[in-house]
Amino acid sequence: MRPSHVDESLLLPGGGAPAGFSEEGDDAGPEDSEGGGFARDGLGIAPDAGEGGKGVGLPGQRRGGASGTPGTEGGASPEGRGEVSREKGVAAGEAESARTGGGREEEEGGRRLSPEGGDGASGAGAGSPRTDGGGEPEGVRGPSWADGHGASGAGAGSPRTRAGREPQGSAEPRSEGGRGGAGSTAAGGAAARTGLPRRRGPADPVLGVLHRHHDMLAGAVDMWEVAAGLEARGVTDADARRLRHRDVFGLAEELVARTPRNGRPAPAAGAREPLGFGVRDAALHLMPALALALAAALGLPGPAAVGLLVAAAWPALRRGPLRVTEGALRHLPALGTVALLALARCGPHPVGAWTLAALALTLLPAAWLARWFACSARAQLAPSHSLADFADAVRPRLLAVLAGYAAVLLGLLAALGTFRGSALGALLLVARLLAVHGAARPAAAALAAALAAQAVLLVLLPAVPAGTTEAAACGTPALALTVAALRLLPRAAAHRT
Amino acid sequence: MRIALLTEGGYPYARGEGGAWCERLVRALPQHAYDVYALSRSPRTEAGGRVEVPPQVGQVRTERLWGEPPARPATGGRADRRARRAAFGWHFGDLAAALAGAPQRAGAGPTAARGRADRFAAGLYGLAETAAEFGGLPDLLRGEDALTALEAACRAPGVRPLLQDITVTELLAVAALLEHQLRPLSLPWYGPDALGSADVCHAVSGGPATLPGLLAKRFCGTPLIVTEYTVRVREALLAHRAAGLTPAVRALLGDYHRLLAGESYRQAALITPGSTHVRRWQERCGAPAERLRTVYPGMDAARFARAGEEAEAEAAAPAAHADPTVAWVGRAEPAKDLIALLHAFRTIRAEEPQARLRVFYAPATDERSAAYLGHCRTLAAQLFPDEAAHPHAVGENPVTFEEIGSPGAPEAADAYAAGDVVLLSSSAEGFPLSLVEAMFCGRPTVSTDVGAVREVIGGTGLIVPPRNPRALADATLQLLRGPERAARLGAAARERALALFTVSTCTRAFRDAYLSVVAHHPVPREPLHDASGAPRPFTTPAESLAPTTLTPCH
Repeated sequence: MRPSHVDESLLLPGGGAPAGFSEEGDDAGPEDSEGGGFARDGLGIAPDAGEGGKGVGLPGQRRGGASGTPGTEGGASPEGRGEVSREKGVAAGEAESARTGGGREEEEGGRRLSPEGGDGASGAGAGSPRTDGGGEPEGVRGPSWADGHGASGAGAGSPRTRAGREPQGSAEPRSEGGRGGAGSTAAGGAAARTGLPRRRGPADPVLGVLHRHHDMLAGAVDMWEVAAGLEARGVTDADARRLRHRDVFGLAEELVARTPRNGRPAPAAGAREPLGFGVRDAALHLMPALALALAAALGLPGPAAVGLLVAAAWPALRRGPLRVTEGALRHLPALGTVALLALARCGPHPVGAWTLAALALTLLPAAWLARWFACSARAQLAPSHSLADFADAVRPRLLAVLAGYAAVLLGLLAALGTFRGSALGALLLVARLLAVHGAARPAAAALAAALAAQAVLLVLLPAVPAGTTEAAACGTPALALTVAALRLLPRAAAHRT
Repeated sequence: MRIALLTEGGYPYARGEGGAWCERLVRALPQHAYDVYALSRSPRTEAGGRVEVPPQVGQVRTERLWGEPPARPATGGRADRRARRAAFGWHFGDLAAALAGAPQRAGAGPTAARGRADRFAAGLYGLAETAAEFGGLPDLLRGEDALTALEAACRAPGVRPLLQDITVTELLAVAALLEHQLRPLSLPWYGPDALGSADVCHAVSGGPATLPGLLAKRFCGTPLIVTEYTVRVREALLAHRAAGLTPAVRALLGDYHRLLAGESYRQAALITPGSTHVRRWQERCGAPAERLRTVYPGMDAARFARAGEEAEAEAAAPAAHADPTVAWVGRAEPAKDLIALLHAFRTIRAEEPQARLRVFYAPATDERSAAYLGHCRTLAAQLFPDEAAHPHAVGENPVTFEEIGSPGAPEAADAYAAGDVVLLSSSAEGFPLSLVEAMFCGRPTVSTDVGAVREVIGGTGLIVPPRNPRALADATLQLLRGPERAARLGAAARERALALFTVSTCTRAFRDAYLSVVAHHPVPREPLHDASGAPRPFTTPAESLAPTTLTPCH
């Protein structure tokens, strides 16, 4: 139906030229009966076309008159085209909203206008998709053009907002409801008369490209990526020239401008990483405590007990959540730990065998807490929108880990009736956590400081009770290290996978 | 002359791309001494082992652009560490700002684009200098400072919304991938015993391979030649997409690759794209047109000499065969569009009932191409039933699939010779090597207009639009029915290929390129005389002192 009118209008002298076309559609419309029909067609496709033919004719003419001047300008200079389409969009939008006054239409008009205003240069190609299409030599082009105008006349900007979603001629579905029956009979007759093939596919050839490469375009970030993707899919410069672009890059630019930007997809609430702390891990981390309990029961001497502890803890610390994987200094904290334990058990004021066993037993909760901390921090990476957010979310978890460990340790030691070893345990945990998360240097420094302080205190103040010496010498570095941990561990870099 | 070959994911690894080309270049110009500086792209590259290098190759140094960074011994005191961190933060901030495209000052247009490239270069060289002064950077690049700088750059006013909402996971991913890419900055390759001793750096691919060359130019003044046969930027963009990286990560890394390419083109003394297609991308990325010189990849014509001569003899008395044969040779991949080939052959067969199609494929290396080949076999079986000459004969299919190396075609040359017409039905193509081989064999060809096909064939074969089986069939029928024309085209194609695409053409171009680049960009090197008092070559060539350009090159 639409083709019929347009065929004829395009067959008129000068009708095929680009300038001629926009004059035909917009200027000649009111005078010429064909053109008028065309304009009616154009508006008939508008969203509110349900009103019927008569009501539509008038605004159509009015619109044609209103946008007459820009129309001719647009035909004359290609730069002017963006202006034209924008103006047309404005005119059509106003006409529609004035006519119906309905909220929906106003919203429609607004939506159409907004992308055009925002997009700048690309608006030229998009607003009236192929305004320069009239010059195409093939006869098929004529009708397709008319549709192009049908579409762009319908709501000058509508292809833009709808194009991506229903590129196969966004005009057609709408025309069904709104257009009267008279047009269709006329169209049938005209098609038979001229014998030109009915147009298939969209008016705007770029729409076809948009549709074909929709999946690639939807996620593309810039024109470079689109150009690369187009070439990989076999689009060449020759194809781009057929779409009236200089090369693939130009086509890519238009495609990027016309692809609707759907916001960032919501971060997948992916399956939470399983804690992965099973019975085997638990058994592995219980081994040192069992070994030391056996040693205490058998009454093994201190050095042997420490050796046994190191041997039993080795597999757990190599494989479990407390393993240290990176860093140039990663072995230093382990050395410091062994030295501190040896000093505590074999020094001048040794801790009891059962105290050491209790310390070894806290390896199990320490490992579980470390694993929980690592997992929950990693799960926090995706939903966090900034490094500060992430740190704020992780810091309470770190405090919870430290508090939980302290509670377990103090409870165990209280059951034994002593508090010797509590500062040492806390220091060892914080040092290990830091080393696990790539900060071995401060951990090693704190352990060395504790070792030195203990040695100095033992030599200088031998009279001070052993518990006090230890609490001072281990507690102070432990506190300092906790402060460092609260600064270092909530960093995202400490939790990269 | 000492030439440093900079490769990435290629020579001297056996499985690398472009390995054969490098090997030929090194062997064809034995008068030069070569050093190879190779970056390996993935564990797969290394798993294939290395080729044996010819004696003119001196040292071979390698570095991985993947996996964990080499552990760096902690050096220096507290003050040193602090200075290192400060310098790193400053320069990485520049680099990150350039990647995010944060506007430096109020302004737009060419100055803004220029400013971005300059800022990128400043950051890059600043990081290199920091690495040279204080030791390697990997720990810092993966550390919190890098993340903070990246975040600040993305959140700067004026940056695109996509980057404004970057998440912590994406920041970590970008930092990790940038660390891989920037590893050449921390390498001990820029001393007088390594790149400093080279007269020319020749990066045989674009992208990361040019990074050592850029630094050698910066630190030692060594001129850089960039040769690109595939557009590395484009490949990187496609690879990021295929790897499923999130948009913000792709945006930042894509810009990194593009800005790096732009910087390498700006600094290169000579850029040799392998085809017009590559050249177009390079110009788009900012390569100055006067330094571009297209050098087609050289191919070994000797393998096809016999087939070519036979074709010449045949052309003396062209005659149509009773069973006209159409051949297709190549690696079975979806981009080769074998489906269109089969459909075209269906049309051909409707016109020429005796016609046969022989598909020769290179041994499938991966699952995907094997699956595609199976799919095509099925389609062929559906389209063409087996046929027999009479009721008592065993039938056979007019379409056969043969592997190169099978009895039907022991070598590629036999495959080409088997066809009266050779078809190329690809829907996407870079530089069509199989077309060049067909030209060497003197076969008339019909190809689709993709990639560099038009440039390669240059009027000595027929060209049809891609994904148009009807056009492909019509053009093929024309050649099958006009053996004289086909023979003329085949002979012309052979002449063209022998003139343009042989190894000697290529190596001659590079021999001249090395000499002219060294002549115009000598490495400033003291002393000018060696121990015995003789002047050292290439230190002060006459051209470098001439007030005007003596040769047209650059």
